[in-house]
Amino acid sequence: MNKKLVRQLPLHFMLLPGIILILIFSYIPMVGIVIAFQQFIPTNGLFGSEYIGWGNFEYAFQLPDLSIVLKNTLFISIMKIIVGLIAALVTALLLNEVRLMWLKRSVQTIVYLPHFLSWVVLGGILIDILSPSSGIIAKVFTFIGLEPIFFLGKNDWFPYVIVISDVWKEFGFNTIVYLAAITSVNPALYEAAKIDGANRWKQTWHITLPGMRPIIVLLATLSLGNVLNAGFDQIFNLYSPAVYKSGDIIDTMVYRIGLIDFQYGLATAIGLFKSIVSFILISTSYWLAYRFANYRIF
Amino acid sequence: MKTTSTKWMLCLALSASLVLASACGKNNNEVSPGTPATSEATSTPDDSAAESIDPFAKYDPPIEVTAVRDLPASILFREGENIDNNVWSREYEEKLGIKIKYLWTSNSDYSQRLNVSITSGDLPDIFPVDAVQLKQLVDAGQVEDLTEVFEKYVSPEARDLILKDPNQMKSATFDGKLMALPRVGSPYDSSQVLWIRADWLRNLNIPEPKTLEDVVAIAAAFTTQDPDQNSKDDTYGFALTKDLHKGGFANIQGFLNGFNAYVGAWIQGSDGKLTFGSVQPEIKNGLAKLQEMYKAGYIDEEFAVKDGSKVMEDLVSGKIGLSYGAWWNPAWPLQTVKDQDPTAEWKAYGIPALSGTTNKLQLSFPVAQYYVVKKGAKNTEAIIKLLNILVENGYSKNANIEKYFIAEDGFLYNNYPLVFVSPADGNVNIHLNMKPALENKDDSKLTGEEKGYYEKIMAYRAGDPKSWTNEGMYGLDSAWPFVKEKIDADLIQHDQFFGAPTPTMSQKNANLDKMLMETFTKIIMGEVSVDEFDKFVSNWNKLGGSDITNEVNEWAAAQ
Repeated sequence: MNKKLVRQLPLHFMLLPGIILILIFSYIPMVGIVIAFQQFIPTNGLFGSEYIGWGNFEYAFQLPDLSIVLKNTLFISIMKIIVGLIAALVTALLLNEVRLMWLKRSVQTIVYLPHFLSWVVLGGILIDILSPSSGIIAKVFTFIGLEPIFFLGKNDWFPYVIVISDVWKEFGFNTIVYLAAITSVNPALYEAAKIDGANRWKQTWHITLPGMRPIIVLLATLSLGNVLNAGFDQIFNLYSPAVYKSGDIIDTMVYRIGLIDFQYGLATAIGLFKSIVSFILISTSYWLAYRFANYRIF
Repeated sequence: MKTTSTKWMLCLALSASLVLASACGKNNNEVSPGTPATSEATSTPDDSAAESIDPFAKYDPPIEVTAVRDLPASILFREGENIDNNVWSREYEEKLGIKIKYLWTSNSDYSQRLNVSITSGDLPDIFPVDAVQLKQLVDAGQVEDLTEVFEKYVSPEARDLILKDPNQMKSATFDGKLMALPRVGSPYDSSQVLWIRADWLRNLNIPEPKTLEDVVAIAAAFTTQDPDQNSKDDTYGFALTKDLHKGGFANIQGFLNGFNAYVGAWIQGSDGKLTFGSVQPEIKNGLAKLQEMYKAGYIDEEFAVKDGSKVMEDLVSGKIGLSYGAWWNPAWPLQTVKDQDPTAEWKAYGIPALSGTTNKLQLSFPVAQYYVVKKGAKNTEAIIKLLNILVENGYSKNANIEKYFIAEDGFLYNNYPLVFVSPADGNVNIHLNMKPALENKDDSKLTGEEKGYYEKIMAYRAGDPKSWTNEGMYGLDSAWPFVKEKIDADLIQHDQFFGAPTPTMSQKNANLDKMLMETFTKIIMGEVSVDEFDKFVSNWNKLGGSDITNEVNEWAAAQ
């Protein structure tokens, strides 16, 4: 035992820089949580403001908008998770069947590209594309005889536009993860299936998908931790007062309260609430990942 | 065993060096802004003993004063110059012996960064703050009382200028003590008027608008009658952004003024108490009209998703001929339209009222920034000297505009000084002086600054459309004749509340404002009936509005 420890000690020491950085940048800033329990005034410093216990939380929960905002957040982020998962999975399976290497590679790259664009840029482009008077989509609608739709100004459409545009931007990333998972499936299985007379569809259904199952379950459960992150950059660049009802999410609300109105205490309280719920969800999803995909870190 | 221990040492060395490297990295980042805070001005010439004080006395040896500030993104410097080395920094050093050391500067997130500095107690000697921060700093006792040094060191010209509008000075006074220098300015500089393309009016043979009804009729004609005569249905009548009454152009404030509605301002109600302009029944009338105009297609169907820069695209591509906006709109964005299409002829038309009524021009409180001195800073009086020299170089009889504010080639120096103020009636006066000069073609009575504008206007009239800006800002077609008319008739609606936000205000405003924007947008878009306004008003009162009203009236009573 002692010998093993001595042998492993150097490896443990190599962890040190990482641990120190995490302490400095992730743990020490957590002291700021005290702001959530204060009537925080910057001039008084971090600990000098008046402590008001759960006051900020009480106020936050009686905000008339909180329930709508929570509902929007959950709806948008769950839709994003489900649609994003399916889109990436289907693309990966389809790409896997493509024989032409150059085609496969270029499609893979092209679907991955939007991931690198920022929402500030994409927001402006989307507003133009979706414009009911001059946008290209409206032109197509008029051409086939439909009434153009004001996608970004109507509460019935706004959340779906958010979900679809986000999936379009991000699904390339997960596609690559799934493609990697597919390559790890043992080729001998396919050969055996072919000999048994399985066609492509049967092979996909009975070999590829089960082979990918651990990764699918893993990505799906881990994304549960993100359920309260509906995507601040995206919504902030696309929403407007007309769609507050369907598009206002926790992060945009915290932004308006904290950075526009300088209500740091209240904003921190809501942020802390969000972190705690996320923490619970991540713990649950970790447990689920272990249970169903046998994935564990420790 | 030997190999193990070597490996051991190697790893230890490696991890140690990594920690060290990261620690150094962090240090490097923090040393530069951190050091100056501890090494403050070293010398302190003690001129408090002197009996008669020269407001421009030079520090000898020179002193160093630390500061932070926001720099507008548009700021430009001459080749080889920067914020630490320019005509004003040299002036500070040569004339006053004050070297300003900027710990940091910021162009958009100044308020947030400053709050971080305030929280960590890492404050410079002199820095600009907003009204909220000023109140907090005063409550926390973190800023110097300037009453005494102001009395002692201020030059007579600077005193006149800064005390011209007593309310502006009052907003920086707490319990009778002057805690900051307000960045005084002219309330008239917040004037918003109606801008219309006069060439489109001529194309359609429509007379100039006198009443609000005329304005709506013009918006209708501009939408349907092809005012730009390109035989395409590509124009709309009334410019509007998603920010509604916020922002410098395509704004509804001036339009609502036509209904005697004053959005966002605290006004005197019939009972003499202050009430909030945004929840008055007159607003409802204005919104009803806007809803009608939206339904009829005079307003861009998509205004609700377009911010200023998006509407600007429509403006530049010649789709808009009517917009309510600030008096300075000729500089931005109308000059850009003129650059694209030299035939575009924008003119200001005041704020037409409903026929048979008179209305007031809504102005906001001009002070948005205050200059404070950190508690315990040496040379508290330095800030007053910075003010003195600004007034001396910019607004006194010895002023030298070309050298210190606007160079002969139009290059701007006036956003270099750390402490900046402007006279309470500056821009109106420029117009009033300009008017006879333009009419008599005689610039002999103009000041240096005005002469610069006069020459630009002459250049425009001689056929250079790129020089139109000054014609539009100060010439005969500018906003000022209408503003002056309102001033003379005493038809000005000042914002009656100019204190720091009240407790309920800072707590509930985010929510109330969201409700307002949502309701107004939906009413204009016709998604809800205009009667939704009544529901909004009762909700507004219920969710904090009536508390805010009480607090504002308590504040007013204490003034």
